[in-house]
Amino acid sequence: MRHILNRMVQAWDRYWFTPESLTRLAIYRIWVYSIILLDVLIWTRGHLRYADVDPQFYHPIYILKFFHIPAPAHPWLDIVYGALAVFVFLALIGYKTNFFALMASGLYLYWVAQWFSFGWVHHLHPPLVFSMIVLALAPGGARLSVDHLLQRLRENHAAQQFSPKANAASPYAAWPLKFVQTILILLYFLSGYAKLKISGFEWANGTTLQWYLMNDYLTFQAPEGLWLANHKTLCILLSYATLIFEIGFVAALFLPRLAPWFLLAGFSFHLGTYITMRTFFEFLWLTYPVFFNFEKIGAWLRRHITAPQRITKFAVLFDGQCPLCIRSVTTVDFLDWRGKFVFRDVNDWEQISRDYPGLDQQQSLEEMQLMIPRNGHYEALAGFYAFRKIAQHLPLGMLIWPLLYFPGVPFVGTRIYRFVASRRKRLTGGARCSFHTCEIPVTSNQ
Amino acid sequence: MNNWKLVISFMIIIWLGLQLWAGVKFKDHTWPFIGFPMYAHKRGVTYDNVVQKILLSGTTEQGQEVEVIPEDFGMYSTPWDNSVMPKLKDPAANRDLAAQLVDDYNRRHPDRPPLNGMKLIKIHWKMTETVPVEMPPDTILYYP
Repeated sequence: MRHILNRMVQAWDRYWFTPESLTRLAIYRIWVYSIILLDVLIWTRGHLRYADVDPQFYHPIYILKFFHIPAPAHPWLDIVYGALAVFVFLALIGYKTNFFALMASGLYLYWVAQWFSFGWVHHLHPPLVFSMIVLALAPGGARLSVDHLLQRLRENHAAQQFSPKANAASPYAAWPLKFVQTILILLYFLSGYAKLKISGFEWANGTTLQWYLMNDYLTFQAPEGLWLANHKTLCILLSYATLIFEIGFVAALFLPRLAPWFLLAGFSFHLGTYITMRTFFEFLWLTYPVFFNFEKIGAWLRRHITAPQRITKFAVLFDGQCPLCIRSVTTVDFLDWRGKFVFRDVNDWEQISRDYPGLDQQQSLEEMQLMIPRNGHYEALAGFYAFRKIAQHLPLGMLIWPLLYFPGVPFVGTRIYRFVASRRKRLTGGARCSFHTCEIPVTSNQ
Repeated sequence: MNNWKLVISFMIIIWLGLQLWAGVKFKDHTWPFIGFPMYAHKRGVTYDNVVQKILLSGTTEQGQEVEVIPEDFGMYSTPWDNSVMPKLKDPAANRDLAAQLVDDYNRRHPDRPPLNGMKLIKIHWKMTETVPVEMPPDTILYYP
């Protein structure tokens, strides 16, 4: 008996706590909070109007009743709305991630709950609401976050050297993803269960779907729905297909390889209901990326689709004994989501001069160098021009990259770069600049 | 398993258990733990063949009929359909509510022709094997 119990505990531990990539969890965090931000700023912004509704129509659902929360009113609802938008944004960019994700989850629960406290409860939100909460309780901000950037800046500064980023796995990164997957599968199962429990297999007799199609046609006027209602055999087949999908999705819990097929079936199902009934259930299928491993998908795309010459990495040469330079390359490395750059310390001059013959050591110490491979050789860009090229190849850098080509910008940019580079010690502060080569060893007349 | 894993495991079990309970019992006021009985009731064009829609309109002092929408009362469809309309359909309470709505409308829209009455009608469609067919409407409320 004890042996069986031990094996069950081990299986449970393996299922929920097998180490998972922190980056994968972080990508899901960005996905979820981006959708919630869109929802708050665009899709449900109109819910501020609930503060104008006569409180006699307010019938709080249990979660609000439990906390004795009264009917929404101005200006409190406006304050909640503003705070919610800010908290969701901070959780999205990963600043104090767990704290702001938790705050955002609480306010979003309230935001949706007050909507559902006027006599009507919708069933769309649970997967995304649950995603918000589990991400707040997990290391969702350990990668691709401001928190991670600040942590790396602190670590590299303390170590007085640049260490490139490394993905890491955590035993606490898998359970949030597995949990949301399980919830999503459970919700579909419960939907199928409700049909069989309430109506039995008669639900799939075709006339039920015909009726719902015509009923929704009266509201939404989708001619495709009326067309489908006129094809009873097709209605029977689609009804059985729906039951098989909703109940059968449970198999993906035990055979994860089946998940993509069920997701495809699920998306087709929702697309079909949109075309014929104008109901899209977007908050269900928008949770599907919890099944995707974006890192593997990205690696596969790079291997199979990207042209080989575009895979070649650019080398950033920097002064590894200058705190400001370490901070700069740490930031570039953080923003380099596509893995486009490698970073090399010019103080290892013996190796650098072998790899990039003809490079000038003094200039390399004065200005960051970017080595771009071209037909077996390297083209070197320095200072502002290296910075501009780097911006071109960073996903977020592309937001400012075009501006760097405006007339006059290279002229000013070059001078600002040299000004900052030549005064590194002052900019970084005397106490922090404790490296013995903090100043540029050789001054330049340029 | 360490203590953190035990806490998380306990939370997962409770969480999934609550969702399963709400789903099996078709609960909705327990949101975010809810059931999914939407579109689950069997229907049929041969045995459950009438669909109803309720429409509300106002009547002016000149006897004109004007369409009224939830936004005219500072509301919109969700609370309107689920809180106001059921009360308007209740013969014991609908006249008082209609009077209240008329006052509310006139107070909110002094620039429009004032209302002095309300009319609530029920429209029926009979489902056939091919199309819904509209039937003659019933008047539920004619105020005053």
